[in-house]
Amino acid sequence: MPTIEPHYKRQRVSIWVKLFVLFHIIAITSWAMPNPPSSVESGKMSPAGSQWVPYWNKKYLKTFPPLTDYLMITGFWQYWDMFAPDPAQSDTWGDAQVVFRDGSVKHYQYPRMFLLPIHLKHVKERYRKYFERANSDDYNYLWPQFALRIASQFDDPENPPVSVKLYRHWITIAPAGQPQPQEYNTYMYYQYVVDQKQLAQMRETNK
Amino acid sequence: MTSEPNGTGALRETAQALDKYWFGFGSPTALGVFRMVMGTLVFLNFHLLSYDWNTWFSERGFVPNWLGARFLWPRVDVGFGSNWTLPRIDILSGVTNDRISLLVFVLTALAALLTALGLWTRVSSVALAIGVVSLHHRNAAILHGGDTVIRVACLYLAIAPSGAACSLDRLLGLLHGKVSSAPVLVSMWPQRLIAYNTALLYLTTTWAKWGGHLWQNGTANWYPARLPEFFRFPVPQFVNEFPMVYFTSYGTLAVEFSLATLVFFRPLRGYVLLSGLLLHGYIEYSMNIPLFSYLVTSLYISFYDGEEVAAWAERRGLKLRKLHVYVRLPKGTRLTPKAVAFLDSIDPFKLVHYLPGDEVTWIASRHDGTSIPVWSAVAKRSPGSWILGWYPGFWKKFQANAVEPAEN
Repeated sequence: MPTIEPHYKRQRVSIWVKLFVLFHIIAITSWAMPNPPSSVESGKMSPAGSQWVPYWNKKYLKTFPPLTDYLMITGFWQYWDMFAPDPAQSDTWGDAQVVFRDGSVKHYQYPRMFLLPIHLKHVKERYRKYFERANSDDYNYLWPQFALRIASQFDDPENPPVSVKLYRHWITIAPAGQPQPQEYNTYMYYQYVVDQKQLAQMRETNK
Repeated sequence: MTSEPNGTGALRETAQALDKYWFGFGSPTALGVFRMVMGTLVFLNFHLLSYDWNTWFSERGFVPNWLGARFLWPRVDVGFGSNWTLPRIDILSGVTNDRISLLVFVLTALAALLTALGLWTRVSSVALAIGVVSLHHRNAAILHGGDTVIRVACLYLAIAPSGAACSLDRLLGLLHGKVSSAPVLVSMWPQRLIAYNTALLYLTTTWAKWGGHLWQNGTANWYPARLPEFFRFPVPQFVNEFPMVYFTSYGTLAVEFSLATLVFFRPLRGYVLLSGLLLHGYIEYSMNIPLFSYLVTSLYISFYDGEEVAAWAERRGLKLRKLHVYVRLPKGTRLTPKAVAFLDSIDPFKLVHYLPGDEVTWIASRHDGTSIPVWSAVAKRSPGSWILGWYPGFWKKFQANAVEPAEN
């Protein structure tokens, strides 16, 4: 059998590609590196030991525009903080009460993974992830649209929803050896007065 | 003759070794396998998302365009004290027409399928990367770790020669004589970047965890196991009790740190990756985190060179002796170089052997000597043909062009 010479896509790698690879490695490494503890970051404490690395990285590299712009624009930005620095210790789910013009009230169960059958858990998991953010005070600007969308799902032009109350329910897992709480805490974190004009617009687009 | 100072020589050797590792040439087979697996997983992810497309990407959903832009600002500051900004890659930026958003979603899902198949790979992988990045920038409020794997992997596939092996592009090119039938060699830097990014994933997650007191005291895994929102399949009670919790918590850190470091040491690589598979297998079984484990472990392919992947497939094929078939060519003929390359490409396990024949037509026999229809035997044992082979008349046409008169 004759020997067939391998076919090279290109003969050599240009210096520009090598520089790009180096730049890319520095950019993703800097970006993915954990931040220093908040006490160090805020200047209340001086960095000690290995804290110098994330401190220096945050101060000089992670905030260096060419690196961050490259990652933000292209989509190479990345965080790998699953279950870190500590895993979640509370189980949270949500629901809502929709109040109609005639005073009647309906319950809305936002998809709760625990209650779903196995085959739907995968499909609906995005709801859990979204609620993780949409029930947080840090993202309170998400709340009005969250409530409006719920109102639109109960829309009845003859008797439209007039307000939506958003509830979060949570239970905090106790450390080992301590009694585990059985009851979920409940808190109404937002009451939305339905914007009838926006609801009518959604009604139109739903047709 | 001048002698180099010791340090300079060692430095040069290290630099050369690094240069060879990152920018040397090798087989694109591992990259091709990674493309097939990742493309399929991304397509499945789009399938899962499609059930609630209205909820997440329409103007009537929880996150209309204006709100998505507030969650993740569509422009980035140039910095250095200027007021200039640059746009993120997002072809859906400012798009409030649901039909256009849906079209982008469907086309991106199609690009994922084409990328998995390796059809028009350059165009389809670039389209996939742009589509995925745009959808992630359009609604970042629903993203989890698996999505980050998808986005980064799709970007790497777009800049890599990912269609050079295990692709319909390669097979069709061989059939039509448009690509060289010689083995292809590509620069390894895109695959090395995927491997580096995978190690970075594990290094930074271990580092971040080590900053948490629950990981430090070994009780971290006590908590996720008790969050009903994550429940999937049941596990024995003792697994979530002490002392197993210490073992699984510290074990997680050890495995993840190994996947960032020891994985590059070849004698330990297989064991490290196996421990990663076990870790993610357990997560996949017990916790409801869709596709995450599959996505992360698919990155492991990048730790193997293409030559190793091809050799592994051949070794597996050798063990499947009962499946081997022997195809005898018509008398006085031999396979054309094009046909040799094509048949070699579609049969990674090397289950089909082509031999000179004494009959006027093609015949095939099993390992025990019993006869078997030729093209059915070839097609069944050649995964690379499973898509092309269904095309009506494909094998008949191939048979007519696959042989040439043998030289005496």
